[in-house]
This record gives sequence, structure tokens and C-alpha cells, in this order.
Amino acid sequence: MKYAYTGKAARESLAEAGIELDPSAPIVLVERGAPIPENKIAVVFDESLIGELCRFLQSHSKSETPLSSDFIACRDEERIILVKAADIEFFSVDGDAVFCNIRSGRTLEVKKKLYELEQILFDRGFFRVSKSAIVNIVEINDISPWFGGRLLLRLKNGRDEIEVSRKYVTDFKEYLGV
Amino acid sequence: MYRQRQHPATFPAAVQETLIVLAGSAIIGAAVALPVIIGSKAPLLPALTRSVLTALVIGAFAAAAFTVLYRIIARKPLSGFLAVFFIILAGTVLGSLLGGERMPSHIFLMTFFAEAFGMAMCAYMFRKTVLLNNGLSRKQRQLKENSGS
Repeated sequence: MKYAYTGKAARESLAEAGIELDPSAPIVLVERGAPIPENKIAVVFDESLIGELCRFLQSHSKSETPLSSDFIACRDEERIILVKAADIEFFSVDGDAVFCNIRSGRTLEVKKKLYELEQILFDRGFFRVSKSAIVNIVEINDISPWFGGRLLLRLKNGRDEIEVSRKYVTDFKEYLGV
Repeated sequence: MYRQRQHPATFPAAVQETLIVLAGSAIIGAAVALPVIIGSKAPLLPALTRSVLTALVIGAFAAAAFTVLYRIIARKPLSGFLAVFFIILAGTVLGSLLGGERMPSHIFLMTFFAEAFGMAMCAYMFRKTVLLNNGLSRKQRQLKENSGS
């Protein structure tokens, strides 16, 4: 669920809590003292209660119907197509855009954030290996050590190699039970 | 079940393997050269320091060569092991000669033990990669079983 926001101080806190902000959203979060927009549902809050608000919005988003992890909606030029999660090799980030790389070798844009995909697809065997990549564990061919305590994952497609950054190496090893 | 990871401080984990290689190399360098230095009655500290530094260079170079070759040559470890063998061989012989050692028997013994310890350490480091890939296979089987059920 996305929310519009009016105010100054709480924007960062909302972003950190994973609350998606969209100026066109029908529900607007209004910091006390900021103007209340017309024709919208306004939630007025005091800056000191930002933590409570974030928790409420997070619990609300969790109580919504969970997003399906079987298929991921991807943009294919002007169309939106559903890609089976099992056909996805990995997700990568380029600038602000998230892309999913599928078995056929095509790269499609995904409208979700990487942290959302991480949560949705964790139980499907997708694991975050760096700030900019989530990989389908089943699609990894082998792992080799790399410089600076990092790891290199070679995919079964023979084309792609994905780096496990230092920050994620410990979690990755733990996930594999090593 | 997904859980938010906290990413604890990663500095020790990141440098752990490098430290193992360097510390191991330094110990091997000292252990291999010490009997010869004592036998030759040369000043202990400069000779030992030279030997340890040489071993550090050999160890770092061998580890880097193994990592690169293992990646380039389709994850076959043989090329990496061969590279490490020849780097230790060349490094020990060259290091001994540059250090003023002229006795072939001394050079042979130092090279022999450097190879034995160095290759053992290389095998130990490679075992970690094997365990990691075994863990990957287990996880993949587990995920396939779960998706099939």
C-alpha cells in the first residue's frame, strides 16, 4: 500500500520503515502543522509518534492479502506479463530500476523494490547476496571464493556470475548450513 | 521463514581467510628456514625476517593465483594446485638464492618442506570451497523437495 505524505521531518523515517510514498495515493500522511490536502483521506500525526505510525502502517501492510510468490509481474515493453518465480534466475538493480533475469536470457523490469522481492520470494529459495542482487539458489551452478572475502556464484546458464558481497557472505553461508 | 537480517560487523569475517593465508605462510616461512639458519650460524633475526617476508609474498601470490585460475579454468582445482606448487617452488628456490644460501641440500630441504606445508594449507583452504558447494547442493535438493511437495 502506498501513501502520500505532507511534511518534512518524517520522510526519512517512513522510507527507512519501508513505507512507500506516492504523491498520487488516496491516503495522505500529514505531519501536524502541514496543510491537509483536499479530496484525500488524511492521517494527521505528531512527529514524536512517527515510530508508532510506522509500526501501524507496517502491520497494516502485513495484514493485507499476501502478494503471490508464484508469479512476479514484469514489464515487457508496454505490456505487463507474469513470470513464474521458478523461471527467474536473479534480480538485479540498475540505478533505481529493478530487473529480473529469466531463464530464456531476457531481462524484464520489475516494479517492486528489491527488499519487497526479498521478503516475498525468500521461501521460494531466493536469497539476497548484495545490495543490488537477489539470486535463485536453484539456478546457481557453483560457488568459488573471490578476493576480499567475497564469493562468486556462477549460474547454470553459463553466462552470468553474481558476486556475494562481504556484508552478505556470513548470512549466505549460514543459509547454506555451512 | 523470512527474517530481517541484521548484518553484524563483517570486518573479521572478510579478512579471516586472508589472515589465515598470511599467518600460515609466515609460520611456514619461519619453520622451514629456522633449522638452516641455526645450522649456518647466520644472524638469526635478519635471516628469519627475510624468510618470513619471502613466505608472505609467496603465500599471497599463490592464494591469488589459485583464486583466479580456479575461476577462469571452469572450477577445476588442478590448475590452481599446480600454480601454487610452482609458485612455492620458484619462490623458495629464488628466495634461498637471494638470501645467500648456496648449499643444494639446504635449498632442497627448505623447498621440500615449504611444498609439503604450503600444499597442505592450500588443500585446507580449498576444502572450505568444497564444503560450501556441498551446502549449496543440499539446499538445492531441499528446495526442490519442498516445491515438489
